[in-house]
Amino acid sequence: MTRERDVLVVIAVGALFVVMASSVVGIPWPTEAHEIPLVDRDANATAQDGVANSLFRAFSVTIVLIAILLAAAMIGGVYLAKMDEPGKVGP
Amino acid sequence: MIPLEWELVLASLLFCIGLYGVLARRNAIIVLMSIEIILNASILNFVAFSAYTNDPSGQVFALLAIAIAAAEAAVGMAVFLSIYQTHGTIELDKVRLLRL
Repeated sequence: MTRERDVLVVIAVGALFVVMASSVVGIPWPTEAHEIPLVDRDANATAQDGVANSLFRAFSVTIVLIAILLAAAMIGGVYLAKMDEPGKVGP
Repeated sequence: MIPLEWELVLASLLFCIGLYGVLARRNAIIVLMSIEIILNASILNFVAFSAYTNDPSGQVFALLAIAIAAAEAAVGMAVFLSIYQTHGTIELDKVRLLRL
């Protein structure tokens, strides 16, 4: 049963890989890669000039939301994993 | 510079490896690692398109996705620890916590 399942999964995933890989090959993608600066310290720099400029200007609210999410994950993880009495874990 | 096609094929390969781990393996930690591999495939796509379109938004999304992956891993490991303490195993086929 396990062997059959593994074989079926390999066949399905292999077929999916062939479809995905063939769908991206042969398309005229852009050929010139650009090096995006980490930060542009110019006072007139826009959010498109560097990763940090974009992160702290265009996505500043997102950073706060991610911080709240990380804090909630940390508190939730500790709450789930804490051991009040030996052998008993969780709420 | 690596062509964009190769990076997309590599991301597809990573996605398929992660999908195999999710579908075929039963150990919960390996399934969680496979989900992280799938997430890394999407992050690779973000960074590749960001570099080739000269738009930093993709790299910003990659940073945010890494932070979300960290939160997901922390909660996942805590859940698995709780499951192990109650069931004695983290084999997903043997855990019937949500079944009636």
